[in-house]
Amino acid sequence: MATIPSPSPSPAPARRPRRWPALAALALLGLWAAACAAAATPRGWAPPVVSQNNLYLSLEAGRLSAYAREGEGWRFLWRFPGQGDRDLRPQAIYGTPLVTAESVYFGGYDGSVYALDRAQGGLRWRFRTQGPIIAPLALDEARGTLYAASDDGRVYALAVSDGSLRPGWPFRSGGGIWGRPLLDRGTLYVASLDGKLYALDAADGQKLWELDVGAGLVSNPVLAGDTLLVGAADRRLYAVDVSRRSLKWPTPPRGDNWFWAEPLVAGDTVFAPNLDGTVYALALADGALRWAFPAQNPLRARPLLLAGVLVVVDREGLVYGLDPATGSEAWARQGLMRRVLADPVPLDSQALIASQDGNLFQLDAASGQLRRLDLPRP
Amino acid sequence: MSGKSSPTLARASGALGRRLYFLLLALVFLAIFASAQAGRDPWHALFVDPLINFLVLFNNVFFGQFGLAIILFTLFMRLITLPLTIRQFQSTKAMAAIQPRVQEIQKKYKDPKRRQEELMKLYREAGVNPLGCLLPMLIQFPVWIALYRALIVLVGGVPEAVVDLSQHLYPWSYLYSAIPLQQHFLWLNLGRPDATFALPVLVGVTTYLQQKVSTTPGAATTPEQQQMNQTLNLMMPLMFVWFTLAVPSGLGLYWLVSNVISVAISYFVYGRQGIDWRRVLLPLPEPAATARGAGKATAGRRGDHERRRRGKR
Repeated sequence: MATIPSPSPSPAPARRPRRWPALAALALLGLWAAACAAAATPRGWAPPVVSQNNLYLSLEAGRLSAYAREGEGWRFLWRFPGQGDRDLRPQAIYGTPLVTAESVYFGGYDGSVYALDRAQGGLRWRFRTQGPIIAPLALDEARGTLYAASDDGRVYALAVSDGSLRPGWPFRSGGGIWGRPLLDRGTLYVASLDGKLYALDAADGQKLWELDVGAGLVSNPVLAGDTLLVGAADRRLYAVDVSRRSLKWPTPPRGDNWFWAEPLVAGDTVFAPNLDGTVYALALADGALRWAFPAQNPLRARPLLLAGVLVVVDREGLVYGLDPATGSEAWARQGLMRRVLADPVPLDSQALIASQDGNLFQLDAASGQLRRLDLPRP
Repeated sequence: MSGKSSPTLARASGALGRRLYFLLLALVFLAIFASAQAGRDPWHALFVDPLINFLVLFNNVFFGQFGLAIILFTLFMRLITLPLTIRQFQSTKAMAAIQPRVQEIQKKYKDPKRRQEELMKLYREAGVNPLGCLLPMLIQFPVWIALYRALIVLVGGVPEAVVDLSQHLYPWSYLYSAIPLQQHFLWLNLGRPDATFALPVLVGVTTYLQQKVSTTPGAATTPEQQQMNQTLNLMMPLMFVWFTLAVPSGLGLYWLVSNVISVAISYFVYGRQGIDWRRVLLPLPEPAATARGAGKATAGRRGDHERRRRGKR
């Protein structure tokens, strides 16, 4: 019997390999890695500056804005860098801007010192250092010299007129510098992360003397008479007698973390906030503890003494009003619900507090009343 | 006698291993509970913070060179997890070796229940646990994530990151005095992405090599899997190049060292004969598993190359 040959089965069409599982896996991996590897970006914590009815502050990272006071409100003046300054990127501003009759000076995280025209906000000159500038600048108006300390370990003395480097400068220390150079009677004090306090001749940058503290000096130094106070990386607050060139306190007080905030000296008391979340009130004479106030969060901002109240702001934006004599709370703590690292500054009888998200608050120090300032945006 | 004692010993060590796993798991849960009770974030308290402090300690011990500390710490961590890594590689290798037989069973038995039974029988006979390559990876996973988080906190570099870092250090002056960490290492600023592109390229190349030497040929049984492997082999290095361009160099350095160690481990696990360097260095397509190569992955690999050569002629 003849059989009809069955047609040979045609080859099955080759299945096209699916790529979506691989791509989905990659997308998931990408999301995970992006979440894990988000790098920190500098925001800056420059406090606002009020000068001759004008307000200068950094509302956005790396930008400085100026406002003029008009009655109860503020009018926008300028913002730097502006639309046309595409090659200028300060990245972040950490130090308090310095304002003179004609100019505004500040150091950027990009390592540049900027001099702006006060009226228009245009760039007058720029000086580049080799490291980020975190320390606030210091100004000697009589000599027309601006001092800038950089994380490159150098201190630069610049002519305010054109930003040229003064002869004999820069001075080189053994570590980065995060604290403000402190000018007093012709001597420039520089606290370096190499653990040394340097005293320089402010005219030519020659080293007069140095004191090895033994731990990196992190905070802005402050001077009360002949006593210089500075916080160090070994969690201690040091008092240096600059006339004797030696440590003043026999046992420098130690916190559970760094004294990064600039200490405040009022009378014979030093108010020193610590990143461990405690405000320490110490005797200026010997560093003995008078009282300690525990805040809820770390303290990076310098306290402010206003209307007889010590205003303290912690990192998470809780505002405390303390009795400077006892450390007890003068009014119920207020919450900004925003991160705060910038120092509060006085404006009349009020305190201005800038948060890291670019908001500005006004605090009545006597009552503890807070209100947000609505600044017109450019 | 010895033939009997070996399985007994294996069973005993297996039981001991299981008990140790359970004990470890119980301890971890206990620690999580305790830290949550103390009002601390258990993830940071148990994983991230110890790693941060350990890295800072390494930095202090090794002359304040944070780059060197990252390299040595990566080596140290890979050494600690080496038994798990080797087990993972061996499981992957064993699974690849029996893939042809797995394929045969999948083709032969259409009934899912029967197919499953046969597969389990095969796994038993070959002494392979299908989840054997996953478990060591799962255990290591939290460690790597915590290490990433620790590195991000440490190499952040910017002042805000240093404020955050201060909250993670144990109250020991020896650790605090190391901050801020030395950010410069070789040509790199560890807190910033490498602008010279050298590190991203190195990370990309070593990721490619690591991918190629650690994926056993023959593991891909279907065209889809082959396609997926090929896509991953090319896309992963490119992705890591992109990440390295965007993240602080400290993380890139960690990836680079980790990749080099992975290649070295693969070399020792698979042996010199086990790695086909021609396949690693040239972008040849992944060979699929064949029944002929059953049980001998390397032989199968060599056979594939022979066939490919003949085909070209």
